[in-house]
Amino acid sequence: MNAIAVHNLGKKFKLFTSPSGRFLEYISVGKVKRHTDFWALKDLSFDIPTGTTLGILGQNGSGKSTLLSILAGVLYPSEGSFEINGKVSAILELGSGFHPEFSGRDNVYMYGSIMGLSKQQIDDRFEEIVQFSELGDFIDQPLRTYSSGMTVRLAFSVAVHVDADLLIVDEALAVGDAIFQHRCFRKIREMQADGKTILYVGHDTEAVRNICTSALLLDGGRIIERGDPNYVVNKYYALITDRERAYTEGNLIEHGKVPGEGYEPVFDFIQNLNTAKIVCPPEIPVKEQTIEVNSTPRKVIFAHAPSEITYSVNIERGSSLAFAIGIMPGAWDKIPQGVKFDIEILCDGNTENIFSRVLQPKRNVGDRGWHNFMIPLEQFSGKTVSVVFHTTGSGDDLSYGWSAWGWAKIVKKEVIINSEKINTTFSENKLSEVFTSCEERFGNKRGEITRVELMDENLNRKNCFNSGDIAIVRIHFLLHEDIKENLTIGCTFKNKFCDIYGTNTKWQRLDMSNKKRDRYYIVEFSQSLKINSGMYAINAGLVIVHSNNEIEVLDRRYDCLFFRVEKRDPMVGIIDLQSSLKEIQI
Amino acid sequence: MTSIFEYRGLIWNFIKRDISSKYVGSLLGLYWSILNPIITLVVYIVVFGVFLNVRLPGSTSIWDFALYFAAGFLPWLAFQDSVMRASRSIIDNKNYIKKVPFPSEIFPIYTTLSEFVNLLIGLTIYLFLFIFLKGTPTVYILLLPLAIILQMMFTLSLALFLSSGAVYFRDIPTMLGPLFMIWFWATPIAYTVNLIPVNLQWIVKLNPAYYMIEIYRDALFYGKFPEINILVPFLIFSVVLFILSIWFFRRTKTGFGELL
Repeated sequence: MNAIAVHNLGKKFKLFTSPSGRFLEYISVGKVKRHTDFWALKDLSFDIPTGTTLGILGQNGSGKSTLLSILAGVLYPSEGSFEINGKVSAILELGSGFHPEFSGRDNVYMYGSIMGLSKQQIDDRFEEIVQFSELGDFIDQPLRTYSSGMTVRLAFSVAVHVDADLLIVDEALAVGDAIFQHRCFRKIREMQADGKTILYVGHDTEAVRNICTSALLLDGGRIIERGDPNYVVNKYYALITDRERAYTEGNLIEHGKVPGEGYEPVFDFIQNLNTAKIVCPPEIPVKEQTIEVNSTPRKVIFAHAPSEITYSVNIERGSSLAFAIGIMPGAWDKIPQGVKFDIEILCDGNTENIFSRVLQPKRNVGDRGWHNFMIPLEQFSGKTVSVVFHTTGSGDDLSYGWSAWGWAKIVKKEVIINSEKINTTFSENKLSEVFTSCEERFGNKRGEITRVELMDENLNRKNCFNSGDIAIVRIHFLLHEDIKENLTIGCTFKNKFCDIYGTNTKWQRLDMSNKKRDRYYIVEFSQSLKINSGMYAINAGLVIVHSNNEIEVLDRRYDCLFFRVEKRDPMVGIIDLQSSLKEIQI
Repeated sequence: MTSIFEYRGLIWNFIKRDISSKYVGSLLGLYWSILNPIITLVVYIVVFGVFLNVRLPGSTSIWDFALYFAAGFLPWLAFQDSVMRASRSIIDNKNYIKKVPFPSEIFPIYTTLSEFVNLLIGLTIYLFLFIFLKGTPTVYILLLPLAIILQMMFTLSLALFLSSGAVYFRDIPTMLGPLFMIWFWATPIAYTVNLIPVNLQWIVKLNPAYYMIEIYRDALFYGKFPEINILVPFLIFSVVLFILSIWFFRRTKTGFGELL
């Protein structure tokens, strides 16, 4: 049995630029169109089984409030349908449905009668409602004299006491003080135990983790993730970080590896553009351009799709092809299907595709910015080959290609190999190691956490401990740039509901300054697990805490390891405070 | 209209609150709802009866004109105030409608009903005056409830149409002020029908307010049964309009949450 069943729900708003446009449409009976459609919700389908609690997360403008308003019966869907079994009590926003001139008492009766309670039924519950809201004598004062906290306390008290089968709560709860919030969550738990269905909507991820049995993540009016609250909360964080990243990427940041010290350029494709054979659409020629990446001017080959640039090059031993690909920000919205970048090498009559990558910067935030690549050309050593740079579009409107090959070169490794230098291919292999299915990973990858290990005090890898054991977490990481200061490595232990304990190198005053690119580092966290039995997870983070306290996430791995703790002596809660008891003789 | 019954407690609550809040903080309180119509009546009677010397056909008494005017003006006042206030009722109460699945019919309904309390007070004053000036009213005073019910239906219809229409077209409440002024002067309330040029009298026949007020005057002043060609058309008109307005309100209320 489902308390709520939603099928392909969609809500369209008509946006008018002026009231006269709306009026014109009315009187013309649909002949004149003066609005643009905005779909606040599209194709939403989900069920909430009776007795469960669903959390809905999403950024501002993701459609949460519209969805709630539809479920609460305030808005009507434009398409699709929904069924609700049972009575709904909704707290949408602060003190909604309350009249500011009426006293608290009158409002309780009014709300009760809207919810279909008789006067007698409200009389029976009145004491309880007042007590729960802690309003005392204020109950007979007009609502406009209440503080916002008092209003929401009253609203929540009434909403949970009207015997609804389905309670809809949005972030209104955040207004109450800490003690009241505790009481609210206790009440919510009671209602859960009574088999009531609850829909919780907001930004409070801890609440979603704590009280929800499942969760949805809304973005742009669509469900983009659903499932276990923990998983959805992680996705939500990833979404927020992505948004922050997309914001900073207006400045076109760079990803990936660039040839470091020890490589010298032997052939510069940009300088030799005039020697290349070019096939491109006549109206937008392939040309050299200077752009700014991270506030530094860089040279690129502007290659509008579809185009083909062919060079003839002699490949020496130890050569690699180093280049970057990217799409100008102005074109992101115009090419939802993205642009495909290919490199082919023609050698001895054979064509080999050595690189192929599609960038879809509109859809995929990670595809924004400039992406550096280095491809070894060992198999072509000593030969003269044709290198072909292909840029292909998707069949969309291609007048907005704006794709480019950046700083393309053939580089050669110097003969003297620095003993400390780490081989490129080696580090790349390491990256794909140890990936648990549940892990959520995000960051700008200026550095990477390559491995997280969990061990006992004898350094044996382990994932099952006794309560009180020493556990050692080693976080291995690799930097792609020199980082002088503020590098911080953090480790957090959590259970299903909340973070239990977390610390980092900054708080522990472990010096992390002057770390070099292309080097591996390991930070070890050692702690005793004085916690209750259960499943726990570890989050590892590699961040830079800037002087203004802004955190730049290089790599964050949520739930990267799971472990179990057994405890022989029973206790309740999470932390073992190791109480000692004695009887005091009187 | 089941909602009237279903939410009668709520509506009653709103009416009580509405009436008490209207005069809260003023010195004379509820007495204003008696004083207000009396003052307006006196002003009109002095201007028309004394200064302009308007008399009813076949009568020279200023009191006859005063009673004739009051019998039409009191219902008109209630009608005008109800419709004008009700037209804002949905917009003014958007806090409820946007946030909870509130039965939005309640707002035009309670505003209308609350204004009718003023009508009842006015009619009571009228009856005292009538008894004082003319003695016992005729048996046709028993038609008064019918007149009130018909007026209520007519008023509610307009209230439902305009309150909902105002959500879509915000200028409606503001437009009503001048419109009601024109309507008032186009209706024989402060003057009699025979003062209108004969070739313009058809306008009066198209004016539903004229029918509504004629029924009142028959019951209150003339003491006779209303003419059939007054009563029947208005009865049918009110019922049809009322049904249409409910249909219209139901159709349009789906957009309230969005447009408010």
